[in-house]
Amino acid sequence: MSLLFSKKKFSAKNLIQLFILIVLLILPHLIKNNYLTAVIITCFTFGALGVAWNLIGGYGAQISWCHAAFVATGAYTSFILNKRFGISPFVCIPIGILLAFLISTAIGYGTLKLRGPFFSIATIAFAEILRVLLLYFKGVTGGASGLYVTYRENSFANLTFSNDIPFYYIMLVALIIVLLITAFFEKSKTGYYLGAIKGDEDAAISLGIPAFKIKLRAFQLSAVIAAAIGTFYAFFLTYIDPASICGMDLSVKIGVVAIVGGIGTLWGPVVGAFVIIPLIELASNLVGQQGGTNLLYGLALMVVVILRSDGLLSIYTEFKEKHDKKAALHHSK
Amino acid sequence: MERLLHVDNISISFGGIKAVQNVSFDIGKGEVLGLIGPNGSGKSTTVNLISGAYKTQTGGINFDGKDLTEKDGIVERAHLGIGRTFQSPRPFGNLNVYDNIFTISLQMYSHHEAHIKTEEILSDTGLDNMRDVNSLKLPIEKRKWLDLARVLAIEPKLVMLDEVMAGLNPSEMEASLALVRKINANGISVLFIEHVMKAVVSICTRVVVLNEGKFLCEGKPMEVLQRKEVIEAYLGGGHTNDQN
Repeated sequence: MSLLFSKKKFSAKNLIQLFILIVLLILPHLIKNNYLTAVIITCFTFGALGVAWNLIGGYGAQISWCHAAFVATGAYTSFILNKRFGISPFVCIPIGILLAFLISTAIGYGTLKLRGPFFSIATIAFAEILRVLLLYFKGVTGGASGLYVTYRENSFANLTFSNDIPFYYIMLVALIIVLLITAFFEKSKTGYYLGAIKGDEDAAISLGIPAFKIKLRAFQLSAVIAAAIGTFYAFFLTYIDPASICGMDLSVKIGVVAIVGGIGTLWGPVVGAFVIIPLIELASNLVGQQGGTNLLYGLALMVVVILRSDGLLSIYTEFKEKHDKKAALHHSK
Repeated sequence: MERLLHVDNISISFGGIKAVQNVSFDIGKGEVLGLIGPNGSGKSTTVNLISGAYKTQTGGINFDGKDLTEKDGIVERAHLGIGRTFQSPRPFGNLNVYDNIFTISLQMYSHHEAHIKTEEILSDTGLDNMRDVNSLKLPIEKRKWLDLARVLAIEPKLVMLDEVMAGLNPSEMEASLALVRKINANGISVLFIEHVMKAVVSICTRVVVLNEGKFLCEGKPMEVLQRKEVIEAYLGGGHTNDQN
């Protein structure tokens, strides 16, 4: 993106970037199909969630299976406040963020000091607890029958629209913001420290890096972003219930998107989302809802782990490296 | 010589095993102190006690005029200037050589200054031409240098080198010794834990000998190595039979 605006000469790369940007901007008006638009919005959503997951799961190698719970935190907070008190979702986002921050701090405090799989296990347990709580407090959360928002008028403040096109732009902007935050995080001191901790935690500590604090910070950031995206996602869906928004299914989907695309890379989860989400849609259209999609996950994950453990994005980076090397060789001759 | 580290009567036991018992010694500012002793004599445990990886059960440690307490964990001690390397090197395997050092120097410096510092360390440690190599692909002696290079990025006052010579061939050893001398010439004190006596004799001004977790003796390297009790600690008492 930054290259796009630099004063350097316009290269072929810049042209491609500009082309992609223009296509992204006019795409919903080109396809004119609400279903396809919805699929692309879902891709943006899971891209953003995958990028957020990657902050702790990829850069920190602390695998979280509770990101659905953070999505649910954002989703339920804004749905409840919007339905009960008519508060705009945009006002609810900071509240959801604060809640996700507190929850992630609590989970992180107990488990990020431990080594090994304890963090992962604790995240699974926490997501399940939240799901059961959402089912239990029917009065507020609607229990198993969930909550929905009804369309009355086109209103940006209430995030209700007659079609999905506004959500296309909202999610696109959200994805870009999340990518920018992550790109900044990658280059920040915390990002570098997290890389060292991923490499060798004991060595990092012995060199003065407070591993626990850094991991906690990354987890908090990751959770907070997931909650913010959760609000938009919920209003896009217009309907949320504990099983779909706080279930293991959603957590796994977020993780799989990042793993398939490229764990610990900026663009990996976006690539993963644009591969996995259309595949799921295809499978559920072809073989029916549940079984087909699960089979597909399994297969996609197995194929990637066996053939490309670095994720799909690595195919491109490897190609580019080879190309650059060749170009450099050619240049030196 | 001004005192940098004062280890006073420290002990630790793991269950019934008394790994270190009532050990005391000092390191002066700018000194290279050898810490030797047979396998299992408590050298690495002593390093872990000083670095804060283990908590002392008796006695105390004073570093640069500050008494280290329970609250001073590994991280805090690293910030005070206590650096260490590991017996088997532990690079950040997901990063290249440059980023291994750069990451650590970010703690003391801004991004811009950290780049300058990293360049400095790279050229000092002779890793300059390997900056882009993934740290797991380095040969063993270069990995040991990388461990050392990273420690330099915390601006240490004391560096504890845990068997940097082990597994190196003679020419690699010469190069490593030259590196340690260079570090010492910059005023950094060194605690040199080593089995290779040639290296100890050539670099240390003084050595402390541990045996079975206890302080055995200390003195000039050549003198200490001649002592009967030191030879017995390493070889057992049986060798005297050969002389009779």
